[in-house]
Amino acid sequence: MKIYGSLYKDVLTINIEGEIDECVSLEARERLEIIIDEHQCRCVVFDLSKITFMDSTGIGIMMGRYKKLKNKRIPTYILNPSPYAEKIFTMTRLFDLMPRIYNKEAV
Amino acid sequence: MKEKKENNPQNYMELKIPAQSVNESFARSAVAAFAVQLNPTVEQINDIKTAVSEAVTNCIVHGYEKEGGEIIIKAKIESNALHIDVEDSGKGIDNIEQAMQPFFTTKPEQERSGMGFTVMQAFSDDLKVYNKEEGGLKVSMKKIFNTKNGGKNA
Repeated sequence: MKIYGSLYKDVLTINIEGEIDECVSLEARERLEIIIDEHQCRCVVFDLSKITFMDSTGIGIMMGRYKKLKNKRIPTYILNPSPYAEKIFTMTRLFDLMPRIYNKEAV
Repeated sequence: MKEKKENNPQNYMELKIPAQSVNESFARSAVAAFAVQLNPTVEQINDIKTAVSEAVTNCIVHGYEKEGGEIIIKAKIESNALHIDVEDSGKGIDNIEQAMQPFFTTKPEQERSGMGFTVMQAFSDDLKVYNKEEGGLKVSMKKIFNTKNGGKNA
């Protein structure tokens, strides 16, 4: 699992790659907290194009990030979800909260 | 058009692993590898991996509350259906109906989505959950693969 972020014109893009499950969940949360706290932004885009596995633990992690960012009035988007991310996001209706986008120009 | 007849022989496997998080990936890959003989699509393999991951994670986080224990995973192929049982000897579930409701979780402070059973239900064709007489929980899932390589998600 790899998580890294980059800031460009107030848009924080966070890339999450690999398998997200309960085993890596603590590390994932910690990484995400650090990246989010380190950057001032007006919105966050999660690039999930390289997710190769995600179960409901990953959904819990994303929901937690969504809530914390929402409290700071920062909207979140999901960029190019891989089929693995796409299916579980659709099934849990998380796209209703974190809309899908296909390019960063959309925000 | 001739229908391709898959004559899958009866086959089974049993896996016993410690309830450690590091085994989640192994468990889902093991069941997925066993399922390959059913000619699954990429999506079906992923569904199986996800469902097994949910069940195994539940054993670790809820059944044993991360204090160790053992998980037994059994898989069986019978007339184009894959049956998967995941069981533990942990604390079981007081109210199974409540536990299976979407978003219900006994550990909200841990940022749990409460969607484990919902995902298992969506990714399998049949799901049964019950407390074992001797203690612990058993989760039984069934996934059907029809002869045209279909099943529920075709």
